[in-house]
Amino acid sequence: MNLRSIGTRVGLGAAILAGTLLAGATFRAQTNTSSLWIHVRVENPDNKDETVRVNLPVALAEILVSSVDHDQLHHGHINISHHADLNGVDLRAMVEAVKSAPDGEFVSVKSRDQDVHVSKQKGFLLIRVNDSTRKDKQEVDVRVPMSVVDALISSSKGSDDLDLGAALRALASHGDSELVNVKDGKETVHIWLDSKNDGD
Amino acid sequence: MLGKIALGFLVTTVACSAYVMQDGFVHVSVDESAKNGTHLHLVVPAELATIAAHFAPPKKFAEHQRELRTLLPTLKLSAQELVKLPDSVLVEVRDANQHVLICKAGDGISIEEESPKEHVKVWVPLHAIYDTAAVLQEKAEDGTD
Repeated sequence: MNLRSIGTRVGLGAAILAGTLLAGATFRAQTNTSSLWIHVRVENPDNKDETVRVNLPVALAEILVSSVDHDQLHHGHINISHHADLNGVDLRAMVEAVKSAPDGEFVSVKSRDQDVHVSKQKGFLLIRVNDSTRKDKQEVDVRVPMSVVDALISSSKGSDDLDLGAALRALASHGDSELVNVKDGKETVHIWLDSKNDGD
Repeated sequence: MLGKIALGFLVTTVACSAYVMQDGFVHVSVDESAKNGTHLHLVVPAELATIAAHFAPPKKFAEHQRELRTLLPTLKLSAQELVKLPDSVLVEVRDANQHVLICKAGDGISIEEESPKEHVKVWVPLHAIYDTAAVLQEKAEDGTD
């Protein structure tokens, strides 16, 4: 038996096995990102007759967002200049500052009826709002991957423009994610991303 | 001689039917709850929509050029993307008086609306949406030359 030939065969076998595993992993990664779905649920536990369910593949959402040219949405870019609250705020500079900052809380506003917290934790931008000024107490929880926040502004066309298409692409590459939870009185709004087509 | 004519007629009919049926059928059903309400159930070859698109007046394209330039490619891309999906509920809106359901069902898209007044259900094959949008897009582009 020729040892050199055995070594060559083992090497070749290992190379084939490595190649197969690599191709399998790449294929799996591609399948995961391309089969993600965005789910939206608006529900009221007290009134089962009022519900909104939306289940859209991220790929389709991206096509729709990139195609619309109406009102504030232009081919994947959304204009936020009409938001008076943002007057004078340079979103790009703000996101850059948050990106380069270590994990921690950036904003904490506490008043008698309102509680607002903005923080960064393990690659996520977290926003929590508790508002009891309204008749029905409102709780908002937003959890956005920093890569998505970055994509929103990285290819934007100005300080009041957000690239929604790029954000969706970034979201798709991120995998399963909880994005928004809102509790407004008895009504709940839940937005999340996973690979199930029914979201249940 | 008569046999040959009959055979020719049969072959032509089968060929035409096969051509018309290649894209499937559009199903439309409308049921009004009123006492003398309409009950309409239609099954129309989807290919007719594509054929009709060929005869759409070019003047109309010029009037809505901007909207069509966005809408038609979106329709084509969406149909291409939807056909890959498993059967799924895409949108469901329910309130006390109305229930709207948009689903991917088989090779088509189903839109259903139910209210105390009526029950409307439409099923359109995705291939027909793609083909019709493609013909309209071609015509719209010809109109801009």
